[in-house]
Amino acid sequence: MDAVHRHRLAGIAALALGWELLGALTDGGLVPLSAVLLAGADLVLAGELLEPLRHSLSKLAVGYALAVAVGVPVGLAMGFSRTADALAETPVRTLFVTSVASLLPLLIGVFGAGIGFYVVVVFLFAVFHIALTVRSGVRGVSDETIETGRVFGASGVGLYRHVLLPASLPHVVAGLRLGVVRAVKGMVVGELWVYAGFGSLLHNYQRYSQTDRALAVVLVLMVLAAGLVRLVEALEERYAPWTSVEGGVR
Amino acid sequence: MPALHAEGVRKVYESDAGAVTALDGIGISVADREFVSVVGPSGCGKTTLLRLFAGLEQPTEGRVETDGERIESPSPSRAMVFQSFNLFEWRTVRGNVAFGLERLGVPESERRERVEEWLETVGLAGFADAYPEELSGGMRQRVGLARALAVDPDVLLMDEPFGALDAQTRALLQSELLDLWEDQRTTVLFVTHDIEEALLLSDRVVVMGNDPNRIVKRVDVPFERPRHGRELQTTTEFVKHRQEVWQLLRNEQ
Repeated sequence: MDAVHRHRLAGIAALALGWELLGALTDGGLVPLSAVLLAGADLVLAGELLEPLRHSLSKLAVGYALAVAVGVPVGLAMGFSRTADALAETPVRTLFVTSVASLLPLLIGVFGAGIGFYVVVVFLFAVFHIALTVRSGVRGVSDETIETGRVFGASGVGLYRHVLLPASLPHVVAGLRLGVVRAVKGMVVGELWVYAGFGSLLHNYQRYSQTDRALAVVLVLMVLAAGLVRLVEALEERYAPWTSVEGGVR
Repeated sequence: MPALHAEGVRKVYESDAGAVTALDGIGISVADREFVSVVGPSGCGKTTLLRLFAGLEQPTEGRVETDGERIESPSPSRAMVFQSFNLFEWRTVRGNVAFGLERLGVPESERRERVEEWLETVGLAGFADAYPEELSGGMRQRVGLARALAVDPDVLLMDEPFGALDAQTRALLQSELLDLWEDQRTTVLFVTHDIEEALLLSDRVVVMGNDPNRIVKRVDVPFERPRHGRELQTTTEFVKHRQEVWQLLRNEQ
């Protein structure tokens, strides 16, 4: 195990210890981590998480896929073309700063509480972050890189295909990573609003003061988001391997 | 017909602070298979001159030509080597050297052969699958050189190619470039602020001045080829030439 991994584990251990101590000191004001972990194990063994997972994951996947399908091309177009940027900037930025949560009552009025609602909420949570991250990535491709492409014969569509696109790929991945975190947030907020899936679990545990179980659900959601981010990173290592190489022969 | 030719060239940049004249009244010719260096203080417009020949910029006034034709856009036939290497970081060493050949539509089998040949020549055959990020500065510039020469250019435009390297690596790459040039005799326009480098490599040195940015003098470099850096640089003839150019530049500071 190298130093980075050791430090990472030490950081996690410190956080866990702090939580545990704080729980002991406040005498149950904060449920200690050990109790939360036990409650989590209980939930898993009793299969109480299966139903929310089934309920949530498919909507999360559809909403996120749509956000990627719209956000990446819009971001690329905004980055590549001044015209597209001028057209899209105001609407995208306005919606980017709009609190999607404040739109929920409106959305529920339009889409009801069915699958469409979740998909739209997840989509809205993720799409603008994806588009703007991709846009700034494309804008960040240096003039030198573009000129070098032109000197070596890339022009027109070829310049996009062989220079701008590959050069901005790491930023597309950054957009996807940010988008996945936002999508999980959107899913949870949507479910809290309509008392479904993880949202209904959280509401129920809170109502009956089962704080340990509620916190266990929060932990599960954290792990879910972190796992999905890791998945995107694995894709990055596979398709953009140059972003993770460093310090070979100098 | 000269490989590169510029006449009455003036280049003015418009900026918020007003118009800046980067070049004025520039005339320069580089003959086929000639190695010409441009030296001058920073800000004298020598890089602008190179960018005009590359086709990355257009002159405000005057003509910039290659083989008698006006230069309107960049082309691999005037390949460039950059001070900051400008390698494509998403491509391996092999992919970087192949880039120009791919754009030119060279068939894969031939491309592969030429890339391997050039990697061999610059001594990077063992690093074909490495990414630029993994290489030292000297190795990166060898990739830059191989990428430029692989397209078999009519002219090689070099913009302070060794300026970002440490002294030892610079001397090594200079001598490699000398050997390579003996072998290829490609037409080269080489921009540098290093007088010794210019005298060591070139057939002719063009000295540029500051404010106004213009050509001060053209100096013929008489040293026999093949040249060897350390031996040549200690001869009285070399020292005399170095003094002359140095004096010209000093008057321009």
